[in-house]
Amino acid sequence: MTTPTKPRTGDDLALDAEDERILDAIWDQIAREDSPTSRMNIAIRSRARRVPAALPSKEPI
Amino acid sequence: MSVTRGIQRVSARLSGTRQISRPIYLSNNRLNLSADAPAGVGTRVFAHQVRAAVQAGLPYLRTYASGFKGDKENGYYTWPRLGMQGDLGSLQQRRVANGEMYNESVPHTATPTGIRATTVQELMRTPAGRDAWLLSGSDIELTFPLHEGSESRRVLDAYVKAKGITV
Repeated sequence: MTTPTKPRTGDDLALDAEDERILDAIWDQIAREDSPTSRMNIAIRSRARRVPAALPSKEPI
Repeated sequence: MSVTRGIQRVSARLSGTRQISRPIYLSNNRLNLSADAPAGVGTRVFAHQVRAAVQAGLPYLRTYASGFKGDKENGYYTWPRLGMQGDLGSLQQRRVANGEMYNESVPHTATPTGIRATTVQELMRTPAGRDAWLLSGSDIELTFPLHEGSESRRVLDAYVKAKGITV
């Protein structure tokens, strides 16, 4: 006796749950790296803040 | 492991010209897998293809990804997940923004709404965007820039590494 099988759809052949989890993590990382608040961008802004806007005057007060 | 078991058809060709305005690129036309194809064979094929295209100095891959939620084809969702990029048509942008299913007859959970995006890669960057494209997405023209450090290669390289696929 053969068991009837339903036609397979693209969903059946698509990424499985583990693939989805891995790819979610990768895309979340991509989004963080491209975000204006990413670590690299924060570091650049912090460095910019340490540079004084103008050199202090050498003249005696 | 062989990358041929379970593959019914792979159709790809080089297109374009040697002129700068229309560089040669690799066009993927079909990738059909049999029902008993080993898990991950599509990714394996794609990763090998990308490596060969990079070695050949090609600038990008192109494909027309088909399908929608409930269809027998899933390329519209799977290829962007693996890093392929493309512009959304105005109708696709509207469906995503309004949370409209491409095929309303498919049983589904509530679709996200209010998502503004003009490219599929924007959608891939957020959980809501990914859900929206899975449910509302449809056929789309995609490219895979092959230069070192492209977002596409960062996604595929990380995925291949996580899966332990040797290319």
